[in-house]
Amino acid sequence: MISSVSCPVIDQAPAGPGIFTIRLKAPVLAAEAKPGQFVHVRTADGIDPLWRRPFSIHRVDRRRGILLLSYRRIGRGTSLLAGRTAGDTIDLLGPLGKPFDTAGRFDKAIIVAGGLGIAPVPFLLDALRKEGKRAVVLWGVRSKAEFFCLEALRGRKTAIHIATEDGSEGFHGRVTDLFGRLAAEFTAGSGFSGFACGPMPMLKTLQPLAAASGFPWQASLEERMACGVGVCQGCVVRMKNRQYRTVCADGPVFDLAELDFND
Amino acid sequence: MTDLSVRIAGLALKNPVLTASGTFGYGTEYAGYFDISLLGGIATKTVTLEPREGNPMPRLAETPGGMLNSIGLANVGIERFLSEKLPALEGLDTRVIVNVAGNTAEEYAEVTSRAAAHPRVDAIEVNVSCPNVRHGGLAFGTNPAATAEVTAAVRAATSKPVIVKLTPNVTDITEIARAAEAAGADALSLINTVLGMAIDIETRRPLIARRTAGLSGPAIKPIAIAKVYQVRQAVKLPLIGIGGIMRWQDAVEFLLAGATAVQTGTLHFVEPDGPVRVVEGIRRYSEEKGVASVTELVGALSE
Repeated sequence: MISSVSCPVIDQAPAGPGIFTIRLKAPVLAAEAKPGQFVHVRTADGIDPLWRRPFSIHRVDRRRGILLLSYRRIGRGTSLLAGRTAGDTIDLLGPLGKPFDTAGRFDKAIIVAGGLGIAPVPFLLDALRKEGKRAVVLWGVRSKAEFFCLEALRGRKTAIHIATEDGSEGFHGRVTDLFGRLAAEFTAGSGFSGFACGPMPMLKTLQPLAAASGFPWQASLEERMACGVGVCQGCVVRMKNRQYRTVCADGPVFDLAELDFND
Repeated sequence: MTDLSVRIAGLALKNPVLTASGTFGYGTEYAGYFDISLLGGIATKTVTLEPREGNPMPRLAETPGGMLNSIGLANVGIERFLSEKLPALEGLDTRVIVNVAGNTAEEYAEVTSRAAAHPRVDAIEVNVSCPNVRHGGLAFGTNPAATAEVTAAVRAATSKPVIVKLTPNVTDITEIARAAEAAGADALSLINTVLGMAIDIETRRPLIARRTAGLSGPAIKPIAIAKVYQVRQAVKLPLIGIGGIMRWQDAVEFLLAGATAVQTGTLHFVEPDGPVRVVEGIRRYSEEKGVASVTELVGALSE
């Protein structure tokens, strides 16, 4: 059952330049959500802004009924959200969308994230660890100040490689270049499965590299949304079979090979 | 206890709140959020003869107090609507209004006769007012003769109530309303979206791929109230008021302006169960005002 629930804010803290992590008391959402799903957040009580804002779920603490969101403050909606503090309540609709498949027949996950595409990755890693699977995270940002939550990404059975476009830390270049450099280490037939989260240009660049890897890839898309539940048909993406699919309800996780980025 | 039931062209509604076409899918998408049987009825997404994939992206933009949409009547087509979507509405205790469109008057009539033949379908709403498609839609609804032609064709295709949905994008909406009435419409719903446009000043690109789009939401409510008020003076048909209803107070405004029922739309994207709160608000208001039947509010402006 999907529901709109009023969730108390536990706390909120800056995680990086213009990036915030908010913790919400949301026991039902925390219990039901799966990695890759999102919540549709009402940032204002009135009509400015009018729409809810979709955020992928950063992490959950099921035992304590806590849900975390990480987001960048870019406009009025996210500015209002960034102003919420302990004691406030926020209306969340969710969990929404199709999650990542973490139960498939693979034992090592390659996760490629661009910028704030990292948001759902800690939740994904938690699920992979529960399945007893190993993971390698490749994360690229523009400059090193944008890295956050690195401690949640490192750990048992998890390795991380970082890239910066300005060369301020790690590999100098885009995360897709970094993947190209390391691709030889990840070969088909050795139990790999790929996961990609980030902006459309990154996914478009990754698509042929992913196809060459020989193993399957799941990609999580970002898109503006109105309803968030597949009703308004406003957030569609073109598939290779020429049909449109809604990012909110048919996605946001798709088979990377099936997406048509040339539309 | 106020009687909330109303009649639209012989169709009894348990209350005057319906959902607007294009904002409620095929009726079941929101079934997991609340009991749809609490509503007076639902108007489905527009159904056409053939499936339509809709317009290129971007299709949506948020604007002050509203939103632009350019979906382009994306729908599964009448065949799949009847076989896959309509059966899911069987158990619902609410009225089902199928919204129809076509490229020609004949197509409107064919979709109508196939939809109306199904016992679950209670009424037909004729979309002659979509601003986001090149053929059909607005091309009919901005011309009295073309509106009459489509209305007459649909009228001939069914004995069930025919509701013609009007566009505000005309010089004189009462002229179109009279043409629909003369051609056999049983009721009118108004307004469809207002033609709008928004531009990104950095890229100098329109925010919508097809450039112009349909504006909905609270920003258009005063326009819609005025159109309902004008059309109320011009025709005898019952009216369904549409445009930016976010709260029950907005719905009461439409009733007072002359609408017998209302449709909520953009509201669902913000609050999926919003229409139920509108029903409850109308009930509370009516009881506080000592109104025996909600129909007493229709057009009940003070002198």
